[in-house]
Amino acid sequence: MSTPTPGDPLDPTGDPEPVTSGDPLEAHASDPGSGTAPEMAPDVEPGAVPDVEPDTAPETEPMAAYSAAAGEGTPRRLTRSRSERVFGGVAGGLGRYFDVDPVVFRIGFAAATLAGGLGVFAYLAALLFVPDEGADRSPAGRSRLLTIAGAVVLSIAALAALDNGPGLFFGPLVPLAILGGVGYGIYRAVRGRSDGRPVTFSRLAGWVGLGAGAMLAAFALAFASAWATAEGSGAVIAAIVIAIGGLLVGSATRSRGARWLALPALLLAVPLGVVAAADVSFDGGFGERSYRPASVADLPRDGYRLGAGELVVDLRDVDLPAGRETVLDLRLGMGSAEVLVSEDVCVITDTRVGGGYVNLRGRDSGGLDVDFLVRADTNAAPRLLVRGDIGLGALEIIDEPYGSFDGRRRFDRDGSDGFNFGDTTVEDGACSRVEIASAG
Amino acid sequence: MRERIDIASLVAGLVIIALGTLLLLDRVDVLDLRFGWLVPALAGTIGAILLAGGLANRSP
Repeated sequence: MSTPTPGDPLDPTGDPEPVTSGDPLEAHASDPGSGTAPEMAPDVEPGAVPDVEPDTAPETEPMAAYSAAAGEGTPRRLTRSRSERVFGGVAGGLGRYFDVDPVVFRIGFAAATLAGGLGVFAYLAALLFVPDEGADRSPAGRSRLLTIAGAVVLSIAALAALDNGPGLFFGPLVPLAILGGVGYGIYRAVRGRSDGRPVTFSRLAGWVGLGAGAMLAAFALAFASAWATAEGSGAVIAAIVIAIGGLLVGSATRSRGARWLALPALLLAVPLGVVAAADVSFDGGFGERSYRPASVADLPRDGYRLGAGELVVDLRDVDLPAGRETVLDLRLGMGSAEVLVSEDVCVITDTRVGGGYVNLRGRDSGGLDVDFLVRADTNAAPRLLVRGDIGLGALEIIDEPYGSFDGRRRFDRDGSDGFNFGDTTVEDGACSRVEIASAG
Repeated sequence: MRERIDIASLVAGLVIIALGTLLLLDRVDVLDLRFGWLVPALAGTIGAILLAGGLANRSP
């Protein structure tokens, strides 16, 4: 039998487990609705005194209503209701737990769904993490849940590696996982601190405040990691992640190690990885930059750079040499970049976008890991090669007559008609032959 | 008495070290990490931690 340790990465509340290898609840009370007799957890050592969860404390008077509904002496426990079930019993379970009419929660879920779809995710997360009434919540049951979750995530990893495409991960799964984790954390926080006393507004506000504070701290850590990486200190953050991993390995000789260290390590590593993969760099400063060179000689040799913000390079005044190629380098960490060119210029590009899209005169490609390559032949027309390196954001290369560009216009990305993928050869204005290769 | 090794911490530590090393190699320009490989690396790390945690809790 292991000893309780505070903070478990798999327990977002950081609460010490009353018993780490045996849930005392199963040893003291039957499951509401299950009708099974209490059982001693099988891995409780002989002679050990089973710990009692706070929520097994004697009920106070205001709990009478709940007790009457759930059975006298039954510990408070958030479960999905079977009797008050419309879909999954989530609202019914919440209503019973907080002694509030479930309709209130149903309206809340519906409103959150209409206001951006959050309600659906929250409901699905509750379906996933809140146990059904009468379901097994023993340590073996929780371990099974973790094992299944781990297997699912590993399967996703394998699929993503085989497909070499991150879309699945950054699609619906990440918000679902975050919401699920938050929901589970709130559930554990509420369950762990519910000592049988009635849930008052002030107590609920305290829990919400605690959860919000923890989320804020996690966000601050992740934001600091991303910012430091974009500022060029990613190697230091990576070294810290490795050091935390070393501490975890070193702690493995303790009964439960220091598993909670995995959480800060991931909070540092994930944003570091995203910024690194997108190749975001804040080198070049922040804000709105607008350049309007008058000649080729005015073009900076190392190109234009901006860390984050909006970059506009207007080349319509530049008389590009006919029959020759002029190179324009652009590097943008995060934001949008626009290049304005004359209609009589053949524009080609070799652009990489970590996350976002690139648009060349209405042809575009978007997503993650976008490589957009356009080659062309020209006869006498001037040719401009735009070499873009965009971290997160967009690059648009536009030919607009004077007076028609308001500095905010965006192309309609639907005009490409599947033109982005695969190699394509077309005729295009000043370019006599255009080849497009795109991946993303 | 011989101490028991907490497999969950051991596995979590090892995969985090591996992930950190991957990120470090990118930052020092030894390799060019992109989302296509970052995603399986992150998902593999998180999955391994969850799996090890679940299996470790089940073992007596």
